[in-house]
Amino acid sequence: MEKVTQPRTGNDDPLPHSMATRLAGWSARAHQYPIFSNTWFVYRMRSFRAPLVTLALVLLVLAVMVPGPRPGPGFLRFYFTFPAIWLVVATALGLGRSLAVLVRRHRWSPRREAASIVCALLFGVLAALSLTPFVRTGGDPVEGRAPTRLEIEEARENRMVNLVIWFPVLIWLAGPFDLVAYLRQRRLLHEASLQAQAEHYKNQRNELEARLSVLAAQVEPHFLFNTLSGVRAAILSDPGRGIIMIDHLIDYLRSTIPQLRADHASKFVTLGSQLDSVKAYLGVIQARMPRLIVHVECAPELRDAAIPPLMLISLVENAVKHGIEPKKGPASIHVTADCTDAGDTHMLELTVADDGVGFGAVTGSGIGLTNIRERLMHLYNGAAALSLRARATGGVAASIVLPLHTTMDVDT
Amino acid sequence: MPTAIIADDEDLQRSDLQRLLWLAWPELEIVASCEDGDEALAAIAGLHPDVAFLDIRMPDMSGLEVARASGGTCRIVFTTAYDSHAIEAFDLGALDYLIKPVTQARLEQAVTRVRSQLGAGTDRAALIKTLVELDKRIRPAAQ
Repeated sequence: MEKVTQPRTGNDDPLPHSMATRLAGWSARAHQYPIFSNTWFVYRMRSFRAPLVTLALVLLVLAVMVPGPRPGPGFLRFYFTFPAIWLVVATALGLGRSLAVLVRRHRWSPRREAASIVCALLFGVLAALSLTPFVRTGGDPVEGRAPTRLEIEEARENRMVNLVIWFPVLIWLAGPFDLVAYLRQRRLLHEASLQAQAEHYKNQRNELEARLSVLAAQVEPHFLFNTLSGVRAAILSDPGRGIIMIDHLIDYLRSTIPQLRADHASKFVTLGSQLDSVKAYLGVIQARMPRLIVHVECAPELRDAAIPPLMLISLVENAVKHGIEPKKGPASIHVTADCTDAGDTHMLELTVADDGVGFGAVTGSGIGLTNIRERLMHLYNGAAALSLRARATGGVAASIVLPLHTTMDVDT
Repeated sequence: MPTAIIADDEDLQRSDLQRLLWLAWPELEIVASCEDGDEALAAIAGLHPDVAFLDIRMPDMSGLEVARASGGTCRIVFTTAYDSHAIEAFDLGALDYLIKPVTQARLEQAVTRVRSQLGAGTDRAALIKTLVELDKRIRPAAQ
């Protein structure tokens, strides 16, 4: 079992659609990205721009309107109060958050990250708090003489009042709501990633099960044992034919069995390899039933097309089992690959047509076809389809139409 | 001499079974070698073989259908690559159910079973005959 410690969403990737808000505005746009990510920070700071500009204007107006002390030693200190207020607010808003963004870039373990972010935000509060002494609220010692005891007491009281007023304000500005939202978001992301992983494993399992059942259907009793039985008979009566059967069987097993393995990670294989597999399979059948005529047609440039493994062979096996075997006398099977254009996308059409007994004699449970439809749905999301039709000349034509890609496209 | 027919849509399978039967039961005479269900049914009806070796998957009529249509006039042994029809086969009164590829040893077992059935058939007929004879002799004496 794989251990999941970090959400799979990248530090700066947008959130999954289900978690992102759809409101306009910088603040809302910030919420479409993980909290304390780079992009989130940019949008969050833009959302503070208007309040900070407003605050600067208000402070400017106050500085003009409030009567200041006469020009002298206290004069500069008095007017420094206004930019100091602005600086304290800006520091409280920005410093903790920007440190938190730096923390997140390290991609530490969740617990360490959360603790570090709390520290970063607290540091922002303390830094802002350390600037508050520049904000004067009166009680300055009068120049030219030592301060009286009363004045010293008053100044200390003022500093206490300063702290008591500033501290909660700065904490509020430094973003406790962002912190809470960050923790909640992280939990949701974690759950979402677990769910996505579960879905991924489920799909992978379904795909492998589908391949396994296809292979089991072909290699299991009927095909393999009938072939071996035929080979044994041919050893004495017609050794040449026995050798042909064995050779085709070897080709077939060699090309088919590796497609079952889980480590054969590719979801797609080349059409060429599948056609070789089909040829080998039909070669065995033909050696057993000389009445069968086989045609396989494919333009050389289509051999590189990417298709899901074991799908074409499944259709061919179906045609042999339900169309050819129950038919008396000569029979034929055509396997063709064509490129067709649907709008601006190229489509690959794979057709397996037989002139067997047709739908009337179909007795199977149709598991093979349901299996193919489910796999196409999962792999192509509705862009591919399987269709069956009765042919005018008798028999059945089964077609898979899917988007034309080469294996190179799919891998990269 | 006991007689048999063989039915299989693949010529190699027919010749294989014929060869194996010749080894296992040399005095058995193969009176027909059929390549589909219709032929097999006609052969059973026309030639009255003691035993029919039927493949299950064949064109036109499956071996199971042939066995059903022949109505128990002939002993049946199925030969098939499928193991899923066994219950149905024995319901139809088949003597044996051989899964391909049939090995020499397994076929000999089937042959023994068929032979004992044929033997039992003759023994019983002889026994009934003797009983009837005895009955004829005893009845006048009793009267």
